[in-house]
Amino acid sequence: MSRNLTERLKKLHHQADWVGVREVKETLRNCIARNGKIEQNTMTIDHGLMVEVLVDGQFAYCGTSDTSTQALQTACDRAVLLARHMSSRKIFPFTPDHRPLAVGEYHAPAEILLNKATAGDVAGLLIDATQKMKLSDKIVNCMAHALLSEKESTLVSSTGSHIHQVFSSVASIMSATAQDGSEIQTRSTGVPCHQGGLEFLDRAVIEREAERVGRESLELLTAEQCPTGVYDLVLAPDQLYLQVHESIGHPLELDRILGDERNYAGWSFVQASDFGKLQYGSPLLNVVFDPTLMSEYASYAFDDTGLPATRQYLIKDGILLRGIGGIDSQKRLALPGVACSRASSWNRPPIDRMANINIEPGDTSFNEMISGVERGIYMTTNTSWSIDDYRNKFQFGCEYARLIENGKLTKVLRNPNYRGTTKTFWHNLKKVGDASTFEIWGSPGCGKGEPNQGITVGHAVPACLFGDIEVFGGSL
Amino acid sequence: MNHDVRQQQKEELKALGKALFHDLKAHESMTLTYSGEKSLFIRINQTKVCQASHIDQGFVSMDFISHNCHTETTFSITGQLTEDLKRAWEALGNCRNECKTLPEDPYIVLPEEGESSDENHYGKLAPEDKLADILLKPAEPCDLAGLYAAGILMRASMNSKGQFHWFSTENFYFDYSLYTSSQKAIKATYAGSEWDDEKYTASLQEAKRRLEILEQHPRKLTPGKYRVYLAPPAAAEFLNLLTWSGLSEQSLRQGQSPLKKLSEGEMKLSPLFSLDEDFHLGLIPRFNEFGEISPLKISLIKEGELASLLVNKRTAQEYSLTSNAANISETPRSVKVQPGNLKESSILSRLGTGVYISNLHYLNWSDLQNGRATGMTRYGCFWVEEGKIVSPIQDMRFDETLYNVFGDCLEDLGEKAELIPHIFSYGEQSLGGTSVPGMLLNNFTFTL
Repeated sequence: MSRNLTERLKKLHHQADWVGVREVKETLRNCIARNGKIEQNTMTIDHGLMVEVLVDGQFAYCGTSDTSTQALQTACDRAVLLARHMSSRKIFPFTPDHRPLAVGEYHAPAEILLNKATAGDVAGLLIDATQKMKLSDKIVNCMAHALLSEKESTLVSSTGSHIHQVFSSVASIMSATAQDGSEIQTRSTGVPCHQGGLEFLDRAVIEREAERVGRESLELLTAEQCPTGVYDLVLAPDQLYLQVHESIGHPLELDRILGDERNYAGWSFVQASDFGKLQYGSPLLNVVFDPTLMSEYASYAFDDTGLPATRQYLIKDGILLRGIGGIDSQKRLALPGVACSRASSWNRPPIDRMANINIEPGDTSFNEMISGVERGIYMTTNTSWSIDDYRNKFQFGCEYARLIENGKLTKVLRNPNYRGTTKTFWHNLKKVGDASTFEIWGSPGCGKGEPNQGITVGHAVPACLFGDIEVFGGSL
Repeated sequence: MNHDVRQQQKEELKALGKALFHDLKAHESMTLTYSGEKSLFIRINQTKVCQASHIDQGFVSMDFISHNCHTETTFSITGQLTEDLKRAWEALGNCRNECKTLPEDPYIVLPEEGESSDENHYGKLAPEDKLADILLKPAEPCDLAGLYAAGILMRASMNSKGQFHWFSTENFYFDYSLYTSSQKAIKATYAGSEWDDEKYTASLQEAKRRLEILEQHPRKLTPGKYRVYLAPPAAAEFLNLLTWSGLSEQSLRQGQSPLKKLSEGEMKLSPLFSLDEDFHLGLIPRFNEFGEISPLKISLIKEGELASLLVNKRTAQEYSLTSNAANISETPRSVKVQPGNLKESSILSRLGTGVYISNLHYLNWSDLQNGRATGMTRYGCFWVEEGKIVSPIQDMRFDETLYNVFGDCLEDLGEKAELIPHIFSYGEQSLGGTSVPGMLLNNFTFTL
């Protein structure tokens, strides 16, 4: 990383109304073990600069993996020229006020630094995990995968902004595939992902989880097919987080509401006039944008335009209050938003992204939730997701389910799926789990944007109960 | 100018490789792969410029083997040899240190001697200073959203046994959609290597013509089974899902293939359906991460039966098979579906009463082992009665197995295939495309 990026910016010759430079360096280790052997060990060191300029009300960008002084000047020149060429057809007349001065730092907490483990240490842990999973000859494939990232970002601007943020994160997945004749079932841990260090690759936890997914993959081989019909549905946090992501997070993005994403990721059924009025779901539903939750995957102090990140209610008591949009979208729509202009790396401009979008815990314990269901299904761990471009008609599949009969969890069910429409679904929210059911999840690669960007998101949610949901199993 | 940029990059890579390979010890070997681009992206909404960016990037992946241990370090490069050598030595040091701690890899793939290749495609892009007008003026007064991407894309592979492959191409695409006032849309892509104002205008005119039909009130369909025509972009979406893991030997062996029942002869696809990996399309390099050159054509599904799966060298080592030069993920890079007999002029009459589906969206497996997928209709989809378009439809969710789509329900394929370019740009612009005709189906299941 540059020793003094501000000094480098000051030396640039330019005729822009405002200039920002964002330098990013990420070191990413990717290690996979399969069936007791190492499958892959890679390290990626991605380092580059993105220059952002404002000329005649038009922002333009130039990113380069050449971090030299000459390349920085060239990038600035090209961005200025590009902004000038595009400004006659700009979508909005931006001003330097749209990049307010900000100074600050953020360091993701890590109890055990990632560099305390060698490649061999990580590989050894994952290899052992795959051996723990293999509880039977019917388990035909065991995989363990870890993703360890250290990322540093510095943002400086011609108006004096200086933001330095350091992130450390760990994501992992383990899966066991079992086969008996023509029946094949896969059970996994989902993808636990956190900001932090090697404390999130704890051997005791990994080995316990490895045994569990091995055991449950075998259970699924003899499980009954998930029934078809309308049931009460209890979703575990490792499924509900993705339901939140797809049917609350994305539709609330202001750039989707503006139509910027119409040609790729899609639009939203939410309209600008809905904020402050729309009853999005049951009064039990409280959703926050919270970049401050310790160890959640997408925590930060500033977004990539320098906006300070604070906790905000998006939905309170079921009412839609605020959208997920950074400063550019806020100005274009004249609506409040949150600090969420984020870029996947140095080589993409920031766009409106989810960070941590969480459901606040309620007051129902898991046992109380189950005991109140006469006929229902409990589903865990997402395996399939699909939703329309307005974020309305969705369908999800899970790995593992249990039937709920007269207030008790009974049979294991395989191939559980459910479908519905967004507002009806959230209006059918009947119980929200208490803090004991609250878990932190997220995703290493939410895709969006043109050009495309995959980015980390966090979702912390409790278990929840929904009424009258259409569920079904697998079939040819 | 562009020739110089490519030549300079190629020579720099050769110098980088020469220095690194010279430093290797007797028990060490190395393969370097390179991926670089000089891209311009212009993002458009409401027929205005939303975001514009230049990206100049290059990445080298160093696949390093020491004794029987194996690791890989990827690093971004600058195009300046002195700085890049510094980064490369650091990467080599990292690889050597990691290999000391890693267990042996039983399926290690050693680099081999082999033929080298050098393939360059040149283009003529629209001038940047006039681009905003070139793209937007002909579209007015329509509401247009989309992405224009253009530039030079470069790929290379070289190894310590002396092999060197180089591929570069200069091209563009404008992937866009036009909207009615009620926000129904028509999607189109104008792509190529030489910008042509007339061809672009023709693409726009066709999209505008189709947009007029969307102004009518959309029909709400009830869930059930329908006759449908999947236009080539819609068929390509289904194929992309199928080929994601469906034609991979390792996926099949690891229980993750939707084509397991086909491979075991339990299910069959339609004799009308044949699918090849066909590099005659010339969109993507034939060399893979191991430096192998793929055959020009591999028959994967022939007349409804599995002809072969994609096998890379690592899978071949693990299962004692023969590699057919597949890439590391064993996904086809240049898919071609054989056309059928359905004439363009008779699509609607052969459909009769049913749904014309221009595009599909967000496909995913709802039951992988049974090859069942779900997804949505998107953009210009129409209700057709007795061979005539009646109205647009409200978007519908489907849930259907590939054994129906490419099997029992497949009545015919279009007599002309359309080339659908790959336009993903996660991290970098993708290369390649899918050549696919439209597909006429009966009993296609809508669920929501």
